[in-house]
Amino acid sequence: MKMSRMSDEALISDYVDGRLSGPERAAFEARLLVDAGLRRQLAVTRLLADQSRRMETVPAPKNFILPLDFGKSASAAAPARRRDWRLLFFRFGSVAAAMVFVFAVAFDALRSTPPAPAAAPMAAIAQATATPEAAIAPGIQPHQATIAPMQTPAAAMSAGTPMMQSRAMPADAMSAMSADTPILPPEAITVPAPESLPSVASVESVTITAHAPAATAQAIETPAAPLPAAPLITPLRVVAALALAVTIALGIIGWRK
Amino acid sequence: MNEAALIQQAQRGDVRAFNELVLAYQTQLYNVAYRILGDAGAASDATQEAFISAYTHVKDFRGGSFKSWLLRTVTNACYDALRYDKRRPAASLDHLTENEDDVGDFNEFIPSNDESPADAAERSDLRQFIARAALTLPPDQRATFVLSDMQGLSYEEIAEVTDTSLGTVKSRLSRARAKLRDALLQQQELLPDEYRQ
Repeated sequence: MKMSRMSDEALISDYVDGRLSGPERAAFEARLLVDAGLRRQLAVTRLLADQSRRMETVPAPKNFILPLDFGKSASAAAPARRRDWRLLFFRFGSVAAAMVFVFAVAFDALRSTPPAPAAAPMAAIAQATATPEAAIAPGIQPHQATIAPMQTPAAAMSAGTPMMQSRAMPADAMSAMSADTPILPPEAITVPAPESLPSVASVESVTITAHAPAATAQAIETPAAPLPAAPLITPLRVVAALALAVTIALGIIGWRK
Repeated sequence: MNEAALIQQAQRGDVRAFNELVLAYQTQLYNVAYRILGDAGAASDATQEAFISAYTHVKDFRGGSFKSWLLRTVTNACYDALRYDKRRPAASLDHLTENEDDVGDFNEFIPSNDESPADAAERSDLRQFIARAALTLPPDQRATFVLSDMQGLSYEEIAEVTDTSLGTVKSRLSRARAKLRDALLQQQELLPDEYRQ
């Protein structure tokens, strides 16, 4: 129904303007003979078009001529260009400062992420090798607790520990990783599970994987110090704050229009 | 001096030559703006802006119809005015006949010579209604209707002025006419006797 109405609108308009082709015009006129509503619409549309064309021309209230020095003076176009360049500068500066801000924040976030303590497992291994019982002594440090799976069976049994899911490392295997070894190989160390322990009968081997760079002998012997607290104000954060301020200031100037 | 020569001089920065073109087209441009905007002040501003813009960009004119190029400039100025000027919100068709005494900024319509005084008075009311009703159309339909039925431009010229296709021009014009026709059919007293039911 709507399509038909739209079609009639176009047909009437084209018929009034004489833009229908021969067959279209003949078909339309055939419809006019039998459709009184269409005839009325056509008549009023013709009246509308006719009266619109007869509308009087309104005289211009003034002359719109330009002053003779319009092109020579620094008016009109030149100031507009300067304004445009300034706006462009402010907008570009705002975008650039925003990018600096984003990079600074992202870089700061990456730097603030606590790194995996590479020296801590090494030190714990060395400590456990030297004094296996000390690994589970009361007052153990948090970073030392990470080596619980590498306790010697004897130490674990003596302390009543249920072998940490049967993944303890035999003492003879641990002794191979003595403090004399300057560098811990980064590849995995696989040791056989002890056959004498019923609790580990189902365990065939234990795998220790060190992903950190090799530590020096000194680092192995020295227990890892607790991580120092990151300072609240760093040069990177100062840069980020400045970039944010510049972004806001230039953005307000550049986009306030 | 012919138009092409004036355009070339204007492109070289000759304001006098450009002013010759302004004098030649200012009435038509003002009337287009006036019929689209429905306000004498706004139409005057839009026309002035159009001529300033035309002079600023006359070097970009690459031939063709200078009149169409100017009409495009003023039509764009009218679109900008309609878009940003909130002083004159579009009226509703329902209110077109409520304040018939208030003809606003519309001037008195001069009757054509082939009408009797009685017919002229009747037609004057009808034309006022059409002019006011046209202001309720969407801007693109309004501009197309003004350029076609009030200014007498061809479809091709309108397509060039509005930078649209012929099909779009036809579609906009037919829709505008249909809306205005329906508005007229609701105002039986404005229609001549032979059009009343």
